[in-house]
Amino acid sequence: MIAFWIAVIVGVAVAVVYITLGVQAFARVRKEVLAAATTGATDDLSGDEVSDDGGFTWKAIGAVIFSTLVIVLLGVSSVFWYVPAILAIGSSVAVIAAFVIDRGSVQGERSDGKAEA
Amino acid sequence: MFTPSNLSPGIGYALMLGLGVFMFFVASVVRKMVRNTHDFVIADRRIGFGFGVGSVIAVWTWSMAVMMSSAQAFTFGTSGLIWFVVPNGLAVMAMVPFALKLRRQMPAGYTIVEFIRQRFQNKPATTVMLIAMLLGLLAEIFINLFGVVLVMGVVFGISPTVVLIVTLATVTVYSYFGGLWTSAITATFNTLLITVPAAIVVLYVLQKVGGADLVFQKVKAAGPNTLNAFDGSAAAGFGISLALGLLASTMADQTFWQKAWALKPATMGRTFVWAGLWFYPIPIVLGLLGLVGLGFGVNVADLGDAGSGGIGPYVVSHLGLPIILIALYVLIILNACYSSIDGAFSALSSIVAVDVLKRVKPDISAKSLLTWTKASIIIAGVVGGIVVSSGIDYVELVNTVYFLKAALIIPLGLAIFWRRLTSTAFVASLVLAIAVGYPVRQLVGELQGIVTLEVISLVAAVGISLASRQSFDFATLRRSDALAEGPPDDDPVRRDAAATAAVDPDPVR
Repeated sequence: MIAFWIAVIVGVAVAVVYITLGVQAFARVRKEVLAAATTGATDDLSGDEVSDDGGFTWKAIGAVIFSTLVIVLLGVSSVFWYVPAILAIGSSVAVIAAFVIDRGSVQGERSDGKAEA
Repeated sequence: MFTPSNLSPGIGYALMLGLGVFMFFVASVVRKMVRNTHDFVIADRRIGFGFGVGSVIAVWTWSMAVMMSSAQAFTFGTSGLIWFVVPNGLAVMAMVPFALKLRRQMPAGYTIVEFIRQRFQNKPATTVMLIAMLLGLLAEIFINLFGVVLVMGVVFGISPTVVLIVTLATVTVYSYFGGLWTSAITATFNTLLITVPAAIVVLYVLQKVGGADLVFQKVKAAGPNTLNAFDGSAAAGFGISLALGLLASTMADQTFWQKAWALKPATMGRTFVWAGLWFYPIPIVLGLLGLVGLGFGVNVADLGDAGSGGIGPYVVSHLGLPIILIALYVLIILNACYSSIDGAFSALSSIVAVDVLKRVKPDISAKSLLTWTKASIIIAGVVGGIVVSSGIDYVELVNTVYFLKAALIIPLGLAIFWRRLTSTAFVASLVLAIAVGYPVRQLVGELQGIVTLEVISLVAAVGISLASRQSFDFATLRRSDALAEGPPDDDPVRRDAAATAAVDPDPVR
């Protein structure tokens, strides 16, 4: 039952951080959108800024190999049956990381804007 | 070991309505961000990395996906899990090259049907694509409604009609108010409510039945290949045809193209890669419930009409788990279902706005456009309710729709990447592939049918195109700089955005 209680505690902590960052991101986006409505700023239509996420192929291959490995290991030993639960909470942690990266890039854009001004 | 929990249906109603109230609260806050049809269907192309990853994971986590992973593990063991899970995540990541190419070539795009119209300037090609998209999105709504009906029936014994009415009313109402913004934000919270509860519930189930080691031994004893991930029976049974069908499910699905055009360009590619990567743990962890059922000898007959698809809800509701954990499991399915249905509603509304309303009535007023775009969500909800409650074999219907959608993989991929593909080749490839592949599927089998379909599709698309000397200039898809600054009449929905701002600053409120 230890694994269960650890998951509960970690899960609650992750949920708190996730919701906090999600609400902050939402407030930021909402402010941006309402400000854009006031100033008449339009959406970003520059195809040149589309990032190609370098190494996509390797990441996709890596993901296939890793997920296959996780499932193969389920047939090797019961110890590995706890890995999917850890990874499931990891999915929420990944979204948290995405929010943090997003916030960093928005702050970067703002400071670039100030420097240009 | 397995005995019914006899839970009160009131808990089921409370979960369905409670989640709906939360979503409606989010929608009511989001509502002010939607000024016009452009905002409603494309969120002003401002969806960032965080909401992008969170929402794509949830939209791809269909209710049936979380239950089918348990079902395939229950039926085939770990080989069923591998063939169900691996192509699923890969399908999301496979969107990246297509989305990057199209977003660069057509930065002001809204729908994949719009791309086909501009690419070929050919009515039959556009019409075929429009019908395929609408049917695919309706199928997505049906299949997720079925998921809720199934889980609420197995766990709480609630009648399908009541579940359909409550679910459709809930999702339709909150989707109606905020469009893509509501879908993206609620779906991001759905991801949290799917992943963390999945880990907690599965760990408790493992402990409740005697620990992971005992389950492992029982699954091993259940058959010679239950723990052999590379056993071929799952591949032949459903794996290969599913893998191809899943590829079509993302690249020929407006739900994903809408996201591709709505995400901020700098993080769009990375969003799909992360979403594909971090989708994987969800079906894997829930697949363990199927292995528990397999190990402890649950009989398919015990699962009633739900068949093997009901193994997850059956295990969770028949082990004497605390009510809160059963409620958490039901929430996982409800979240998966709600997020996929509202994603489909949102995608459908974008097609209705751009490819139906603006084509049928180009001079439609901005206010009417937004009103009818939103009304299409209600109409789709009603159609979904009628079809699912009519007693039609919608699993067969959905399988058929996705088989047919697989015919789009090659012509659509070539339309995006190969300048020589002609409109005749596009239409002929689709028609011939279905005309030959479908009878083979019905008469010989699923696998043979889909292989035939793809081979005919490839030969027809390439052969007919090479016989012509036509070549398409992809640069014509791109808006000029002047257009990017907003001359309204080349971009119908944006034109309405400008008109709306001038005439009625906020028609939504």
